[in-house]
Amino acid sequence: MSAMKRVQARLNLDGKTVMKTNKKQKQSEEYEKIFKHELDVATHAAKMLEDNTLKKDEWKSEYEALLKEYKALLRQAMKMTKIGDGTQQKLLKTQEELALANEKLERQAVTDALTGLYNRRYLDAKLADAFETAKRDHQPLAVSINDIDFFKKINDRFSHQTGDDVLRIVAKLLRESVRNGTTVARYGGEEFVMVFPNTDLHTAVAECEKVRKAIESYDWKTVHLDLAVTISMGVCADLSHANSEKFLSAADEKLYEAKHNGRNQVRF
Amino acid sequence: MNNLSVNPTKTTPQISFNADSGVLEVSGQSYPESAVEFYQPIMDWLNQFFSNSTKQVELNFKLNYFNTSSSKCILNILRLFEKAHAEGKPVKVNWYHHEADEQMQETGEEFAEHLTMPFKVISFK
Repeated sequence: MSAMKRVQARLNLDGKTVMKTNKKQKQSEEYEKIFKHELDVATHAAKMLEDNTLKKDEWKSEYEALLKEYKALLRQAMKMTKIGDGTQQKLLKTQEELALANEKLERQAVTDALTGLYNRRYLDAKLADAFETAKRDHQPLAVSINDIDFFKKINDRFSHQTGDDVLRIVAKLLRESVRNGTTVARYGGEEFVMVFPNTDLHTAVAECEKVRKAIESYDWKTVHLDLAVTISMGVCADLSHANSEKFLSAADEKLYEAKHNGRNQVRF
Repeated sequence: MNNLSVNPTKTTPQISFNADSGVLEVSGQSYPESAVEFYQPIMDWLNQFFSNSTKQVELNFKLNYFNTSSSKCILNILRLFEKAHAEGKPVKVNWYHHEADEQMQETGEEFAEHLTMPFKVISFK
């Protein structure tokens, strides 16, 4: 759009010259059309003022007519103000509802529906970011990848409902066992990943051990009388890896070791 | 008099007038770029109708959002109906609002105030 605006001179209600751009003039004309009746009343009143031949009773009836119009306009102005305010309130409310809905959607986009933990999409971004930050700032960082032992057997032997219950409870135990600031995500099926910012290997392993014990000692009989659940965990805190994917892969190798070494253990 | 029918757009309401039943309906939302351009033909049409006919006219508003310019145009239309009513023509106005839409209910009540013609505020589900 051109920034050039042709400025036009025109007369306002009082006959004074005002300068307006084309667009503004068009807008003014628009409102003058909506208020045509009221403008006609004003024009008529101005004409009467200049008429020196009017008699007293003619003045009176003119004044009465003007008062009637004035009252009608005042009523309209008050109505329109009230209605306008109401509409603005409604729009503001809609805006708030929209913001809340957006917030909910954004949360959903990064959340695993079953467990309420972060999902893989969030974890990948978060881990990449944490990895870069830790490397740049020479701060420690640890990651663990964790897999429920014999989960498929739990599903097969009991039910998928029981399997879902196990996932939910493990998620809750993970979240509750680790320190604030630890990112806990469901990575896939029965796999979970935890990111420990500003944490060295020793501390991360201790954290994982807390989690492992919490899961092992949970009263699984409340879910099913024959149920027992354990978890295997692999930890890596070696930032010499080229990127966050390799960093996580290294933890995954440790998880593999844990699985092949008898499960229900933390390897690092 | 012919039927009148204006299809709705994103910014203008649907207008329909059935000459047989005498029902004029304005429904949808109204925030046209030029409210006059949109409402003037309807005003002209109504003026013509009132000068030619003594039939009962029922005006139904079913709006969910309108801007201030439109509210002035609605007031202008209502004034036309008031005038017709004052001349003894049978007119009535119904303001429909969704039952959850308190704002539109209050707006209808606001429009109804000070009118001498029949004006009902009706909620629907």
